[in-house]
Amino acid sequence: MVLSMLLTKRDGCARIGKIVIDSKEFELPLLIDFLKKEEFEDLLNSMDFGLSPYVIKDIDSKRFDALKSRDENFLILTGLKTLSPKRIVEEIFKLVKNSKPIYTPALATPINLPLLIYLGIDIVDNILPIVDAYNGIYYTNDSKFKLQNLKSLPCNCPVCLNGIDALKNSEYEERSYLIALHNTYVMKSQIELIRETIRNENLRNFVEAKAKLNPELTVILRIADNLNFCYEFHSAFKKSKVYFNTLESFNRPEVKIFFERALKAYKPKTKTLLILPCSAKKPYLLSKTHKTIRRVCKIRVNEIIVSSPLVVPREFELVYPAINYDTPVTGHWSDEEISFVAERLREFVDKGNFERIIAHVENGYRKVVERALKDYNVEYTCNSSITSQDSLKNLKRALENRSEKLDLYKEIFEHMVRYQFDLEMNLEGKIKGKYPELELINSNERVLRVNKNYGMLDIYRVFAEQLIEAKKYVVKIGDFDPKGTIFAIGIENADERIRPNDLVVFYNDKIFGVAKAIMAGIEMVEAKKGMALIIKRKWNF
Amino acid sequence: MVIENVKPKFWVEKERLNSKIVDCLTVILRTSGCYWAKKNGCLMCNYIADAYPSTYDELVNQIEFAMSNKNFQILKIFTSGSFFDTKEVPEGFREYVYSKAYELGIKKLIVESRPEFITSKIVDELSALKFEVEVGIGLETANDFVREYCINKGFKFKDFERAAKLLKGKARVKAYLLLKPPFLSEREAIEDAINSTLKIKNLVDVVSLNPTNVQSKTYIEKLWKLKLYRPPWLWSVIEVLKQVSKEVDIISDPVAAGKIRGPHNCGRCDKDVAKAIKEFSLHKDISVLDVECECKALWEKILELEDYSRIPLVK
Repeated sequence: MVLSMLLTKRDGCARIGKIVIDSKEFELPLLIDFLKKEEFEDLLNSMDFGLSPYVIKDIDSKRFDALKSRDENFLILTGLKTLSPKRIVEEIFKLVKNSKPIYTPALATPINLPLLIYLGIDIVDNILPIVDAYNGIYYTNDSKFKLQNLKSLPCNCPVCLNGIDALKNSEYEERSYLIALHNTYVMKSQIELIRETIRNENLRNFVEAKAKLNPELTVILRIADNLNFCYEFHSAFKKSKVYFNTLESFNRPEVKIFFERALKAYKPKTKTLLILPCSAKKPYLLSKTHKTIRRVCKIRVNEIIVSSPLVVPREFELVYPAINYDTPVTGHWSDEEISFVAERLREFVDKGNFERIIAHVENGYRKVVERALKDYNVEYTCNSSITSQDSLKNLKRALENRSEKLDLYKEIFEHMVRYQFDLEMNLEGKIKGKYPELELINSNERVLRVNKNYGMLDIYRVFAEQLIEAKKYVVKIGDFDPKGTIFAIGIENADERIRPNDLVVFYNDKIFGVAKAIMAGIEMVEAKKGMALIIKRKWNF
Repeated sequence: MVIENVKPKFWVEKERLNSKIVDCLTVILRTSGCYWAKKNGCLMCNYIADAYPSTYDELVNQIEFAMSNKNFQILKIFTSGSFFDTKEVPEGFREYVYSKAYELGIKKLIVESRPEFITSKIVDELSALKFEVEVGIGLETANDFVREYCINKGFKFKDFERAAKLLKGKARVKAYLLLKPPFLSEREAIEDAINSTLKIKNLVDVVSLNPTNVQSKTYIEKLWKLKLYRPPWLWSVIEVLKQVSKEVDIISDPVAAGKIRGPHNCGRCDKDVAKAIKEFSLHKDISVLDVECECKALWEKILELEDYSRIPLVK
């Protein structure tokens, strides 16, 4: 038997890829359908399930050693169903950084499936939905019902199209089989949906929404977030919009990465600070409110925009997720929300040497500022609405006669370079383009350009050379001339800072170039299979 | 006479004797207990909890008490250990049992022992008796790996084989097989029992199939409480009986049948199915095993899926 695995896409811990066994292909994440066992016979026969369930390891390690799975290709975690949600996450957490695909037999249902994949499970099966079917349990995407309690079938699969009477009136064995078939349809459509969501880098939004339907799933998600689950596999830059819809949103890896990096990279320069509320439109500078304020007032000072859960210094407003998020705005701020945002605001303010703080905010935003900056003498300039005549007049007066200067676009580039590459640089050249599509040009050569789809900077030759010199976000490849894609096998070394979706510089003795990472840096070095980099441009030394 | 706290358990039941059904007195004597259980122990067993270091006189009292005012043709003496282990059953007590049995004119004596106590001296002792003797040995499975890691029995197949060959022709040999040791799936358990039966059919006179039950304070109970173990289905007992009954004399008297801690089906059919198994064991009529219930379809699914889940999928 020849088995190989190829990973092609990551979204956090979730991954898309395929395994090939004797020329038969299976797409990951994979649902093993035990109603069509024959289709998976080669795969199943290749697996060593061991005699003892995996969870015995903590109960009787001696017997576990004798009876455990000794599979060389897969991590087969049996018996997780018997553990508490907390323990399930902890067990997966211990193993998820391993490059072998993980299979959790008899654990998945349509309800927990997205979360399992989010946690990094590659292979699931329909064992529970089948057994449940024989106990009369009918699944939908988000819940389960006793068939006898249903008045109609909320599904359009071939089984359900025959109507509820046909199902209810059939004999036990046939009925059970039909429900199992239906439950499997639900599983299959879920897994297809999950694959699409991963492709769109959008799984977290989906998982948060699903978690709200079931307290156990919420527990699992919260515990995973508290463990910083797979933190290094989460992208710092994504093409998907972040929805801050739930309490769990505050703990998203995206939020943690943003604050961690932005706090480190933030270097405010002026003595005056202006605090503004966020806008629905992103980037904020394109919003009507921010435009109006800037039209009326000359703003040459540092600004921090208060949102929830984000707090965004103006310099970072083009960075993901600040450039691409939505948060439900009701005007009502919960106490937790106010505390969380106030703490972050305080951290940013403490990075500067502000002598004067003007807060042009109202309502909940004002509560945030009040809580964050109790010991500062904050000037509040807002009267009723932030763009009312009165308010604008107040703000204008407060900002008058300030002799400070700030080259905002240059600051944006320097902050983004620090944020994205952990690199301190005095950027030379001219900034061109219409906001937010800015680029940095030096001696007629493009150095950097804002990519607003990913909230990051795209990089060119001069900058790539500087990264090589700084040894940051670099990947050393073997002695070959790569085309299109570089696979893990061709990689000799990679910066551990690299996360999926990062822009990196690859090089060998002859050539260098810019590529997008598909894996994390640690994976590129460890994994033998899978796509590591997609080349964007390359040059000869 | 018998002191209250060392009362033996005993009852009269039906047994098969040369194709006739007769009364059998079963007595469980309170001995100091199985030496293996004290040392290490099998994963499914906690009979040691009933141990009491009875003296010769106390054992005589117990058996006298059990036998008083009863008619029976078969005497079954269990110690929950080894009848031939003199550390457990005091020297001389065996002689007392033999003479008592002879005195009462019983047709058959049934005892049990681990194989290490079955010596040629013991076999000579048994072959001198005027009535039939049957020695039960808890082989549990013919698979050494399963016996060691899933049962922790502490002897090998070759130990059993030696004992059985010594006994052969001098006394009847009964092998106990355990249906569903922990860590085997339902299907693997059936397969193990069938393979074991076929492997020993020429070494033994009768096989007693014992579906596992969950005794308190055992390793199995710990697994069971963690939902990592379920006793076998009664359908599995029937399956094994059907598959091997043509090959060998096999009986089964499931302990705690239909109970949640014993071998069970769905709850609706357990009584009938357990009854069929007992009927079969007495009358050897395979047709009584043709019982039906809806839950058989679920059991069939379980056979297919438990190989992969490695944990029970239903209660």
